[in-house]
Amino acid sequence: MGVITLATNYDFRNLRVLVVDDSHFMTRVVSNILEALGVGSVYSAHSGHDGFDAACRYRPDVVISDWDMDGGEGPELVNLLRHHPTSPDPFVSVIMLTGFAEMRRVLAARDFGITEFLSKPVSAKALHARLVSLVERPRPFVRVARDYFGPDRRRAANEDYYGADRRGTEDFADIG
Amino acid sequence: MKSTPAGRKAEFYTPPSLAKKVPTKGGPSLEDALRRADKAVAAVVQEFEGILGEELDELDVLLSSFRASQDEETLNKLFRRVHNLRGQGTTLGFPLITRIGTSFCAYLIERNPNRPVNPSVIEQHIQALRIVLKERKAQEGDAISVSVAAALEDVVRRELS
Repeated sequence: MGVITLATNYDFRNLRVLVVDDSHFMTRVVSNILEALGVGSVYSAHSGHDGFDAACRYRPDVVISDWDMDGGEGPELVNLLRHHPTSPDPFVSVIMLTGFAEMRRVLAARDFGITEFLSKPVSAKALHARLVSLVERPRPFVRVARDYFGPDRRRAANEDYYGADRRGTEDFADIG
Repeated sequence: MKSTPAGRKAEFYTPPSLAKKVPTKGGPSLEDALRRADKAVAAVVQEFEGILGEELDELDVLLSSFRASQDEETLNKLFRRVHNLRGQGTTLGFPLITRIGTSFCAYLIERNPNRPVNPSVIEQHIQALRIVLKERKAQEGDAISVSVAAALEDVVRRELS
């Protein structure tokens, strides 16, 4: 597995990002950062349910959602995106925003099918790094019977692992 | 599709790559982008400071209402508002708001449900938030606010024990 050389002039203008947070200030902060980074289309919603409706309408490439929201929480939104029959894209990349105090919950919540985590306070540098990660290190998806559907969770366990297939089940279907 | 060691079926997919939509050339340099982002966030921070006072007034109104009614709905409204402030605080340059908000949320989440909520603990948290705002406006640093936040955490520890 080679080392990724990061280019510094990523052109995000064709990217569509949906920001979901019940705090209007946080939505604006994240949206402003995304626009400053050059993201072409930024949409916002203020609850998990509104977020799902907005995802159906705008078909974003990336959803950035707060974990804990009034009127429908982040994990519920991810569940809808991954599993609901009307989901516009079950493979959409999801970055979950979370406070430090919630990290334990978040680690357990990998099972919800989240692609990346971003801890608060949100910074432009960290947000840029997450977007680059989605571009440079896309994660395969896995469906394990009825237990799980989402990004392959093994990456988090050992980023540098490149030995034999540990699950012993590699069988890729290209849907691109 | 193959079986996992536990005997479950696992099927893998390669989703469409975002690399097709994001060229590695042609965008702003990282330095320029971060500089623009910092400016954009600074504008929101100023606005946040402006409305924080109004937000604290609203918390006072809700506290008065809770003192009179002791109802769960008002308590939930208080929780949601402080919880939101907690989430915004550090990102918008008010780490002590996050700290005080965390103490407040811990009190309401971890309390013994058989014991009534103590309104004076809520009041002390709201007053502490006011001190943070006042010190920030007076540019006096955070010395008093830090002491107040630590004292509040002690209060909550005692209430929860």
